[in-house]
Amino acid sequence: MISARGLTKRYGAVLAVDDLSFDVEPGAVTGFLGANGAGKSTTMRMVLGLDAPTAGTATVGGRAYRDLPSPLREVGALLDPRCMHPGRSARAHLRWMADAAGIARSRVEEVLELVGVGHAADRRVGTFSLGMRQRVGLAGALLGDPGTLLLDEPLNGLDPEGIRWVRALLQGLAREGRTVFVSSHLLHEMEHVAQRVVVIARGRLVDVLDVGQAATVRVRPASTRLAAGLRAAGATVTAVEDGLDVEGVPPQRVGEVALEYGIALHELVERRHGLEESYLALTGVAS
Amino acid sequence: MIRAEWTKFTTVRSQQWLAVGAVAASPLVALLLVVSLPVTQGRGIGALPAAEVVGAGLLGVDAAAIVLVVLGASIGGSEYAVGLAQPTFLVTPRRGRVVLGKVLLTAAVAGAVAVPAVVLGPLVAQLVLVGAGLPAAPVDGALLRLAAGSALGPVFYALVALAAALVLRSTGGGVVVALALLALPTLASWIPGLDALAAVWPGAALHGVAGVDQDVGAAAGALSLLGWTALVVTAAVWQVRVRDV
Repeated sequence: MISARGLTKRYGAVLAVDDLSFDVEPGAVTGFLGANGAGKSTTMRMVLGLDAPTAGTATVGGRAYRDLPSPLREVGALLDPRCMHPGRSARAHLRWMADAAGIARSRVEEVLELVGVGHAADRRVGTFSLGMRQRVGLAGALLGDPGTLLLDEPLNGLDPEGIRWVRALLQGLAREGRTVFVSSHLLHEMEHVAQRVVVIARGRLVDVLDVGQAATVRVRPASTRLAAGLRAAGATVTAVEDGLDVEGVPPQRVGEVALEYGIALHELVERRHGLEESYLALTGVAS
Repeated sequence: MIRAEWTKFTTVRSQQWLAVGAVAASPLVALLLVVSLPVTQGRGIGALPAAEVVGAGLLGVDAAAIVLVVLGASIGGSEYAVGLAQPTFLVTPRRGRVVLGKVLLTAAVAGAVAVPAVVLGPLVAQLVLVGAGLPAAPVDGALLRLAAGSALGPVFYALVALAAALVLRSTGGGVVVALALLALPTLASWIPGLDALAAVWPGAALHGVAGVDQDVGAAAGALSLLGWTALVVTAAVWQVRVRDV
């Protein structure tokens, strides 16, 4: 689990991260959403011990990153795929990482194949596209088979096939019980990959959303008897145009109430709240 | 940690070429210096003491030292120039270990280059003497001490370049600082009052170890050199540890 408590980073007069507290639980992909410059990368760098917080703490599995006895085996991170020596091959890049972490070199070959770079492993990284570098960076993050992954904008530069592959990879890793924390400024990508989203704006926590959990049931006709019955069943009912928006009860219950009252339904549709409208509403409030 | 630094070194061609270039620079510059002795000294090689001709050949090590300064600075500076510091400190968050790994690698590579450099330079001078039909200079204790002392210089200045590059986060900065320290005794001698510090500079310590500077003995020179090395390495460890990556 990743925990931040009162995490703050100030650069001179600029407050990049402001008293940020959140938890990232294992077993799910947790998104880290915010506009460019909202403080996502700075927060991740503080969690990973690259930047020292001005105040507050960040821990992984209850310990500061610097205190982890074998960091690469516990936490895999991809922050900036450009951070590789352009003159070194992908295989050599992963080999020095494996050597520094005391990981067998045979694992390098495994992760190269896993990320689909095996065929180009001896090419210099400087000749790679951004998408290929992302894959090499992901290989580095997976090298120690860690229980926790922190990935900063891992979909940048990937082609559609690569994006689908990363989505499936991250969701698979989360299903295995790992903690997966992924930042992005792309709402629709976050909606596809994450189950929970930590939303920040201007360095401050705005909210933690469960993606696609909140739902509204739209029914027609806009019967006042049906509205009363649904309210009696514990729902919140709002009249809209020629129908009713029902919150607080599942769609099956709405259908059962309609049957009890002998009302023929013309429409019963579940509408999940989009992350976009939630995000915009939240950050609109924040700004 | 040392294995990781060795893997980094052996997988970037430019750094290996610098090491090869440093070995090659010594005999080439030695040959240039020895054959130009008649011009620079105003006397033919036959009129000069053989030890002086071999001493001129040993100055080829200075050329190797300059190339090793670039190599040392590159080992430190490339971490920041290409952003490699980020994965490096993610893998090894105890940053002092990374610096010490680089120090050991740089010392080992510079030492491995300096030894053939101090052998090849004088060897070229001896071959020139023999080729001119003159007797070779005797390989005595003084010459061996001079060679051993000369081999320490490139190692020391490569370490200074490494440390400065880590502190300044710049390969160029590392090169400039190491060359400035190399030139410091000369620069300081131009400023009245500072010539009193002549014995303190690392150049004097190296001359003491090599037996060139009789005012600074071998033991005092070695101690001074250790002190300078500890100072620059400590500064690098401290700066790398306290600053954000």
